[in-house]
Formats: sequence, structure tokens, C-alpha cells
Amino acid sequence: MEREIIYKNVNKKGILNAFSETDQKRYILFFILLFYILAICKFANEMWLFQNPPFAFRLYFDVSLWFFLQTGIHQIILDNHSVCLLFDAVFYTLPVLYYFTFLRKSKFSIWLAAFMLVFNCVYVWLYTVYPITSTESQIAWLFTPLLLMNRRIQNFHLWMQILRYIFIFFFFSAGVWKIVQGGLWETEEMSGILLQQHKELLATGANNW
Amino acid sequence: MRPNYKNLFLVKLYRKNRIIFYLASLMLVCQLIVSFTKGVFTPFYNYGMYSSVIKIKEEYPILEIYSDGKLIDYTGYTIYEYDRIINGYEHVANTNFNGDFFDNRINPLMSLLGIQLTGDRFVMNNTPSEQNKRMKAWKNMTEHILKTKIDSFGIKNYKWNGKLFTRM
Repeated sequence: MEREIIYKNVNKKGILNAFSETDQKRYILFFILLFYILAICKFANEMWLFQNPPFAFRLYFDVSLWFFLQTGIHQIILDNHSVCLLFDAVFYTLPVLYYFTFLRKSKFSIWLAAFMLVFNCVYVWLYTVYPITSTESQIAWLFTPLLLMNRRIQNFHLWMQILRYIFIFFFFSAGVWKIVQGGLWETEEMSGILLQQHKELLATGANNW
Repeated sequence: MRPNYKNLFLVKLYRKNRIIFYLASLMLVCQLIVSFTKGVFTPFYNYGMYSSVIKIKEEYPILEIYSDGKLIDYTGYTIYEYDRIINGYEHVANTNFNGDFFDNRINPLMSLLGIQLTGDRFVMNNTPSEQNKRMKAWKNMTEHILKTKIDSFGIKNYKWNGKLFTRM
């Protein structure tokens, strides 16, 4: 099936960009390793869902989330250790499962990545309706399955470039927002943010910055 | 110099794979709609946190926790532990948080689109016994993090003089 061993791309300066199967494998392995290093860090800091079984949930502005809340799944996990553990178990086994099916060149890996896309979305929503963290910081889990869904080397490389543009957009738009909303021109901005975030630390312990 | 449009990524994408090109264009359009309407639709967000004007205030509400008659000093704990205590308290203490948000933000917008959503799914059960249960859950979590029993806790206003916080 896989006829394309190497995908070549010559840019305007005549430099050859080659992206081979080895690169693809390396890239996926890198993602998997990073995923599990983060998982260990989160576990050590008690940031897995089952370590923080939600006792309350919050609403925030996300139209797609409101449709999701209509299913009522978030009410099932309230104060429910075992369901949280189940969600954690699936979320943290999917990447390694994907990696092995990918190595075996199984077509199943595409379906697994598609499932990962849907499941990660649900997991991120559940993880963020409880006030642990914000959804914006979880985009890697939402976008990477789009890349993993491609077995063909050329499509994989194209998606890598799309994700790269999304990553650049992330920083570019943050800069634009700072100018548009006026935060850039405010001299008290940094002090204001630091005070807002660390007021308890300053009030109860440390006496200065 | 005339720009060479052939080198644009979207043009290259159009030549190489039509399906991915349409998908990427759709994503771009969705992101632009979300950005210009200042809305959010997963996975399209606005990365504008802390971009609005934030000034230094004169007064700040501080969560005080007492254990063995002494005020807990948060500096000995990791940022994750600190966040879980403070953020958790904000959401437990704010009893009508979801109700107001549902009535003022979600419902009007969805009615505009002609969609009727069930309020029960959004608003937490706010009976006093349920509120107590949630507060107890927060207290258990905090005691687990602080590794000590809590005597009392509450919000107190502190004054910021530019250098130090003083209790009001």
C-alpha cells in the first residue's frame, strides 16, 4: 500500500526538504514521550482527573461546551472517583495504543486517532468545567489527533505545517489582543497581574516581591 | 518586486491535497469568525488572556485559613496546590455563579439562535445542604493539600500600600 517512502519538497531557494518515514516515526515517538512526561508531572502534582474528583463545575463562554453540557456527562463525574478514573485510564492509554498500532502499520490506527480526537475533546471539557485549568492551554490534545489520523507521509507532512501555522497564530493573535485591548499601553499592567495572581502569597507569607 | 503567490502555503496546499485544503480553509474561516465575534467554539479560541487593562487596586479580598490558631502561609506550597485551594474556594463560595451566567449570557444568545437549552444541566443544585456538601468537599481537599486540620477560614479585605498588604 505505502508506495511513498520519501516525500520531497523543493522550496524557492532550491533547498530540498525531505520528510521520510523515519521522521514521521520519530515525530510520533517524540509526541508520545512528551505526553507521558507531562502525565507523570501531572500525576506528581495531583492534577489527574481522579485525583481531583470535581465537587463543583463552572460555566464559561464556549458555545460548543454548552451543547456538550446538554448530555449531562459532567453531572455523572461529580464526586465520582471511579468514573473519573475510567476517563483518566482511557485518556492516558490511547497514545501508547496508537503508537503500537502505528508501528504494526495497522489501518486501525487511523480509527484510533479519530476516536482520540473525539475522546480528548470530551476529556478536556470535563477537565476544565471543574476549575483546575483553562481550555486554551489544552489545545495540543485537541489538534494532534488531526495529525495522527494521516498515515500517508505527504498528508502527515502537510498537517504538520498546518499545526505549525496554528502555533504561530497562537502567539501572533496574543500580541494583537494586547494592542487591541490596551494592555500593552498600561504601565501598571504587569504589577496588576502579579498582584491579582499572588495576592494570598504576599498577604500571608512573603512580605515583598 | 511582485509577490509570488505560488509560494503561499494555501496555494501549495490546494495543489497537493484538495481535501486538506478545504479543511484548513474551513478552520481558518471558523477561527476568523470566532476572533471577530469574540466568541469561543472549541477548538477555536481567543488567546487574549491578560490583554485587557489591569490596574493595581487599593483593596484585595484574601482567603485566610487558620490552623491551630495560626494563619496558613501559602508560600510553602506549590503553585498547583495554591491554585487548587484558591480557585476551588472561589467556585464553592460563589453560590449563584452558574445561575446568573445561564440567565444572562447563555439563554439570551441561544434564544437568538432559536435553541432551547435545559437549565438543569447548567445550574448546580443550590439548596443549603448541597452547598454545605460542596464546602465540605473543598475543606477535605484543602486539608489534604495543607496536611493539617483547618480551624476556620474566610475572606478578609486587605489594603495594598504599594509595598505591603495590611489587614483592614
